[in-house]
Amino acid sequence: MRVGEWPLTDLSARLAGTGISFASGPFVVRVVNNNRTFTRDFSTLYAHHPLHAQEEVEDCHIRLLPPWGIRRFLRRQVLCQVDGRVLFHPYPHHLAMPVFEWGLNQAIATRAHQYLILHAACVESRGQAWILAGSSGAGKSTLCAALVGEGWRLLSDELTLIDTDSGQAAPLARPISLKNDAIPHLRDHYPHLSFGPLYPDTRKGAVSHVVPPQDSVTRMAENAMPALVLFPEFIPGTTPLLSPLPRVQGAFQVAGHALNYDLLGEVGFRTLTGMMAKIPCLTFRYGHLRQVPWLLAELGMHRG
Amino acid sequence: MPSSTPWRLRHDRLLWFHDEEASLLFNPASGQTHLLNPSAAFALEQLAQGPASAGQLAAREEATWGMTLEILALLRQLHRLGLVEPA
Repeated sequence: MRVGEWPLTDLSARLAGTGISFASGPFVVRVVNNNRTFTRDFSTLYAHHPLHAQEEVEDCHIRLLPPWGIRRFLRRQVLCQVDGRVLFHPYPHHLAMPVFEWGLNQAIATRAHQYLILHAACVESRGQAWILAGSSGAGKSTLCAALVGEGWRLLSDELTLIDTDSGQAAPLARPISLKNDAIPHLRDHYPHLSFGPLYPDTRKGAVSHVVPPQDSVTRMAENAMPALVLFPEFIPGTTPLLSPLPRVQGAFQVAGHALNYDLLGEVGFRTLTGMMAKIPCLTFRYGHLRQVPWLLAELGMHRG
Repeated sequence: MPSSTPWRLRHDRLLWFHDEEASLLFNPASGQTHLLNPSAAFALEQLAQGPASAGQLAAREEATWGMTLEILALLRQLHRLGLVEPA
């Protein structure tokens, strides 16, 4: 059974009780919550994700709960607790969904060390996985959502997991987090994508998520081999420009975007350089979503 | 330290990744990754074949590249990074 197939009242009751368990790629997450806004948003953004039986092994428990003490009577807020540890300061209760996403990112980033974890998005088409790396705000989630809008399979938005044995990218198939101006641009340009609610007032500005397409969720156990590392940079109004990056420089930059590279030591170096030895690394400056088909044509990945 | 002092690698199991312009070096002993220019990579690769002095390294670099940089200053920097030591 999938999350979206549950009536909201049943889902709400389950979440408020023992919680529900669902898969995100190789991870099984248990979430407990009694925040109605979260239940509604979760039902939308994780609609296609299958629920798991309670007895299965779970990788982390996330609990969304109100703060303790007098604070809970003054303002409706939410805390995110991962495996019993509170991660962030309290947030307004209507931001429970973004808080959950940040908490799950942190849970995966701090424990999935069978993977080299990159702060990057990853999409796949025709067996070729593209890793979209770069700093926050560079435009990688925007490009990720655009490529999904072009029919590519979503592997992951915020975290790309590279299997240290096979070198393959493992999907997470979680919502794509868009910020500020990217939200209306994506909505206008790819109206067939499904969006979750708009959160206009997070600490990162306005946030809205693209719902992972059903096909991406259905295929979330299907790894893909990286074929390209792309460093996108969105500069409004600019003309598109693709530039090659030397392998070593590219590998050094990717290492800078790896969350557990130092922790993995030699395994991290071998995984990184094993990947970068085989695939090209490019920078992509773009100024409008209309230029995404240009990118695909330049790299021989346009729809044919 | 005089230019006749021989130097050697501090650890002999270094991992490399090269292209035409630069090299990445991983030192398992420190867990650090270093981005090296061709001159530094050349010096370390020479020392991987056996101890050599700054003067000898400069001569080999001159013979290979037709130019030489500040080898002694480079060796001191590599020493600070824990990659080389006096033999």
